[in-house]
Amino acid sequence: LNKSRASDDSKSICVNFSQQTTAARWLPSPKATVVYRIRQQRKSKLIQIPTHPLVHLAFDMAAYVCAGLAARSSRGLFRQRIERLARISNASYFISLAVGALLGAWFFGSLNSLSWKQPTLSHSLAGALVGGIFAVEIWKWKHDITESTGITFVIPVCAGIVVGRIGCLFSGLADHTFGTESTHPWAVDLGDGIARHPVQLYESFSVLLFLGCFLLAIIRKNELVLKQGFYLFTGFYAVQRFTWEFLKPYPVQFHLNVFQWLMVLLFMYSILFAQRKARTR
Amino acid sequence: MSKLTGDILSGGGILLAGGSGICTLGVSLWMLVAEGGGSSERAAGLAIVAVFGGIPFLTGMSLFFIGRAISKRAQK
Repeated sequence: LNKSRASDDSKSICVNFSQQTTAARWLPSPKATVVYRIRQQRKSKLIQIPTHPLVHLAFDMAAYVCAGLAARSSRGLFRQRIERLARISNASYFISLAVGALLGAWFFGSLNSLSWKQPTLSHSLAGALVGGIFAVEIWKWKHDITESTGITFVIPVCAGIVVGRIGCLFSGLADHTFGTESTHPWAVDLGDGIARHPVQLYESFSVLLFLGCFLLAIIRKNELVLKQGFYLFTGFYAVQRFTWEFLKPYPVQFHLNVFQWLMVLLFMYSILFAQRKARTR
Repeated sequence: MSKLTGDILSGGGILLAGGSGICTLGVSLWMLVAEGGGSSERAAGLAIVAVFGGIPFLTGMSLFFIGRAISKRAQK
């Protein structure tokens, strides 16, 4: 039975119950028994995910370590770019990047979570990405730098997302990154008995797929990826995140949620800056 | 190149302290308030908050200062 049919059955059972005599109410109707059995069967088939909010911390730490290791192991691929970055940047570049990412993460995360039934402060990866990019673009504008500096960060950021999102899954419902209800066989139970889309894994796997393709293209010295790699990453991230957001139960404003609007902006940034780079070649 | 490493560590430290550190502090405090309990349980809870929230925050701050030190030494 699909969800709508099951809910219709529940309604009809309630009506039947109200029409029955007091004594008969203690015995479930055959229809209710069938619905109960189907629900129990579906529940037992669900992939149970053991969760705890503090697991996020362990995966956060692992994400930072993996990002650092990825940066270290991939530095040979971008030696010239890194040397160039070392020449044109200073401490203020990285501090702007970090502060921008933090402000973006907390601002956009909270913009979403403050509109929930139980308003709360939160931070988000999409906000961090947009905030960091915005801060760096301002820094570059102030220092009169027009070249792209982002490609050296693509591999570490991807590695961080791939690992970090797994932490979101194991944090369970408290993390508020869970998906909507699902009837797919890969649906997961995060502790409330509801079959949900594992959206955290969708994002993790799609970024992993991008990372694989990106690495392959870099090793093969693909010209497009070498020149537009960062904008390809931001464009890809925007598209996949925009898609997965349809599977999250966030409140919407003008048909889209906060992160989807943010991803529209990020996608526009990718297109505009990629075009600008192509023109200045 | 070591100046760049120092700058990256500083930036990463800010991110770790301000992202994971503050968030974990918030989540642990929220769990403590939600669970309630007596004064001794609250004290134990605060210790857990300090450990779980404090570790990423202090690690981030340490990374920031280590990065600054590396960067300054490289400049000299």
